[in-house]
Amino acid sequence: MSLLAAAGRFQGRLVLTHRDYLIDLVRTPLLAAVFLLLIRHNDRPDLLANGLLAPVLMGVWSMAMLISGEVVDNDRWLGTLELQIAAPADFARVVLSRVWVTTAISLLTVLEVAAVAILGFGTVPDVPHPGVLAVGLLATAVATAGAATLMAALFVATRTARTFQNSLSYPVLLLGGVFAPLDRLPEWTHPIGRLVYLSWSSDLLRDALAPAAVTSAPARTGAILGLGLLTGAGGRLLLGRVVRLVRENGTVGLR
Amino acid sequence: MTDSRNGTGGLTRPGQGEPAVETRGLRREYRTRRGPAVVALDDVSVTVEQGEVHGLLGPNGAGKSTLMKILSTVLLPTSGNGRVLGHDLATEHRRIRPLLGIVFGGERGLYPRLTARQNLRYWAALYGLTTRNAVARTDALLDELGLAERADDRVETFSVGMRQRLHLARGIIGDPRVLLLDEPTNGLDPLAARQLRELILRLAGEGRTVLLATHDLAEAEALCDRVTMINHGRVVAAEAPRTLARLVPRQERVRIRAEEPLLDLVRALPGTLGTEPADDGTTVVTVDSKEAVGRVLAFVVERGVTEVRTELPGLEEVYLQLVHRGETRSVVNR
Repeated sequence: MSLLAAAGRFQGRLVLTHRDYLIDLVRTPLLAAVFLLLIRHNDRPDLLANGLLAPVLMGVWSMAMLISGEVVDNDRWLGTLELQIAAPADFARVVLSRVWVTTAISLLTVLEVAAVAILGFGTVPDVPHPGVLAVGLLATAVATAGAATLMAALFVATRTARTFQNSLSYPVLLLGGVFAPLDRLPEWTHPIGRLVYLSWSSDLLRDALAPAAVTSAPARTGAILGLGLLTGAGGRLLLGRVVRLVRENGTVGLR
Repeated sequence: MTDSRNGTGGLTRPGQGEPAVETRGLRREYRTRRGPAVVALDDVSVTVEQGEVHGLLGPNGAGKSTLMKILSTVLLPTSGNGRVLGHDLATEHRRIRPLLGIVFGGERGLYPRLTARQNLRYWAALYGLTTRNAVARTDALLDELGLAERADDRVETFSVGMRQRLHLARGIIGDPRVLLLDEPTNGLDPLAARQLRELILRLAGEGRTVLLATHDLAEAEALCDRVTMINHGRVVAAEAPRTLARLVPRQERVRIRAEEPLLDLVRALPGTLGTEPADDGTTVVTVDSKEAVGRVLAFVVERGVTEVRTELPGLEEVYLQLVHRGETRSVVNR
């Protein structure tokens, strides 16, 4: 618990001193404005939930991926990666302890998007199921931290992970139903999409903004958390393997 | 040092009054994409007793940092064995890590945009200190290392000397029993380097074992109980600095203040290997034996030279002879 709190506090301070880490907090309101403008221009108020949720989920995902890479990349550059691996604390726990703060900070995008809708477009988002929305967002943040741990393993393994990460983001967001529900995508994508926690998140969060009753909310929240924890466990396992590998081939501190 | 004590590859088992650091036949290769593997360490056997300040001497690229990385558990050896306080480097790194403090020289190893206090608090958490202990330990170290007044300033505003002291504070935040210092005075001005050396001696005085990688011979001579010289990845010699001088017994020296005609005559004496002017205006005459020393002494005193003394070669000369001649010796005990 001490590591989680201390590393979280540390990462929070680091994010505040590296303002570029907060770029997604700048980008998200602009994205929200674009989506809401398109919805208004095409007179499609039925898509409002999509327009509100897409920038939030993109921001949460993007910020976590950015930081998971930076935790490794920047530390490798500073010479602190080797020292962290040589420290008694489990490195995967260190990464997770640093990333969760970022995903927590990224939830500020919810307030930003709401502000854009209200102040920029005069639209007050209707939230018929605020409890489901809150729990869904928290579960999404937890799952995103798990995915970020997996991504961090990739950054430890290779110094060119950023390109891969950038290429990976849009397929994940697409299969995660962030831009449009998964059932609007070709059928063959559905089984793959259901393995992406974001597809469960986006569906649940959209339903939280719709007037109809939300069905199976606990099970769907469980799916988000389960997939997120599974991804996190995979990330932890992979990180352990990758750290062992870079200790063998001597590339821990290479810049 | 025997190599076949107990079936552990010549290493001491835990609980036997084990050395702080012990390696046997350590080899490290780096694979290259094309061409043969590069051998960074070859058959390196080093023993560092508990409480010892041990120098690891060698030119750049000798393999010092590779050995330090293996000992700090961030690099695995290709072959050979190593133990830290009885724990195996390859299989027991989790037991070793809390016992080690690691300090690299230069700019790397700190978060420049955070304050000294924030840096130390983070590392304290990584070394398992509770919040209360982390606060107390951080405050104590900042005070002890003369950084208390700048504790809440960003590290990027620190001088090189202050950063290096902070590196040292980070290295000992977990109260390690073995301290690995890799070129800790690199880039420091003479005063800051001297202050850091005093700190290292103080830490050693607290009973910690210190392994110091350096290419600064004066530093090794001033700080170390013993030194291991490494060149081209191999141990060239391991001894106390003073004893090392005896590894080159033929290199007795006589320092005299004399003018050139007389020096010409001295050069012609049997057993004289050469002369070299020193910065203080004297001349150092190198001879090949004690007999030759007596011969030079008698010769110059007879001719009225009053400023004359004999001396053993310093660590620098031993280093130059052993390392630069590539002469391999296997003297690994006190």
